[in-house]
Amino acid sequence: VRQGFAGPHRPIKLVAGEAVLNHVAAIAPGWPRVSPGETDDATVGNGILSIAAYAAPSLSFPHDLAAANGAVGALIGAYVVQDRSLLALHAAALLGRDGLIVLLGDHGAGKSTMAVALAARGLQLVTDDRLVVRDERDGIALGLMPKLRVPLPPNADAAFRAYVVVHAGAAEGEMHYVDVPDRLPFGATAPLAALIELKRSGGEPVLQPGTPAKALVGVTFAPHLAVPEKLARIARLAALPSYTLTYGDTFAAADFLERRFA
Amino acid sequence: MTTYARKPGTSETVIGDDVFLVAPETREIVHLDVMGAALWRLVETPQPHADIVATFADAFPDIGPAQLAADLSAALQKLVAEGLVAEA
Repeated sequence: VRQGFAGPHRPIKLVAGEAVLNHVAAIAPGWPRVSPGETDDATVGNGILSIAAYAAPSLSFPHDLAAANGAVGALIGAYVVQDRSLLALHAAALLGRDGLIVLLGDHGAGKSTMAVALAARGLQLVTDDRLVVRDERDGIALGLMPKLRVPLPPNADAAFRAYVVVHAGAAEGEMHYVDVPDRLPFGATAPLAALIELKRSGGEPVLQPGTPAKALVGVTFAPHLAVPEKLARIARLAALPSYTLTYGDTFAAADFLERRFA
Repeated sequence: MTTYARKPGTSETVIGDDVFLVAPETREIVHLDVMGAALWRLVETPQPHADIVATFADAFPDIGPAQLAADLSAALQKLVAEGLVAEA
């Protein structure tokens, strides 16, 4: 089945089986569907995702929901490469009182759990995983559902567990989406206010001024930009107010961030 | 005596205290650690290995000569392997 998704300048065409496309619709419900373009940007067949929109290796997935998650990643990539003002960060983001709080961290640093914990505390969720950024100034929401890995962390409190159950989205295997209400809708923008690098260590949450450049290099997706330009754009991002948050308990850290930024 | 020099075409971006280089052949972004950044500064003018060791020995008198030479050799070889520095 061919499905077109709105891009900044032209449709993005995804070719996939109906089951995968249904999952994409479930986890990206607000992404406008349009007539497909003529060129295949991404194709999922037999659990293998091939991406033509930008140079990327083919990826294989264990089940349809994981393939749909990969396809959404390909859609985001295809969206970004259409416009030189855009890049994507592998990061979570929530809307605080002064703008977007962008959470950086290595894979497994707990970005998604922190993002959902903050959403449960009332911050408006933009993304738990991939943030589109325009001109190093604004984040663009795509209205995607966040996903968590189950079992939830043993220190997750009852309120968090209840929130995840009440707002349960699609699930398969360890991958559970959360239909967080009032997510910033597709296409909405908000200014970037702060970058926070998450570092799990131990003890109480401590927020200190940080230097995020190295972390940004690892999480910036911009295959349509020459490397020196990508670095120049990263330098502009690194000039935003930046912090390192060290913490032991994700939920205590979420309380801390809520007090500081909500 | 081996001489080390910056590889032509390597581009440098400094962001705060962080130094990033882009290797001319791989186009990969490389973040330099403290020693790598110091070596990168030093080989702006091509340097014989002995001069590099002598410069660092003056700067780090508390580190034993054997340890310093080993650390420097490892750091230089890393820069060479990453395509950022040429040895001749």
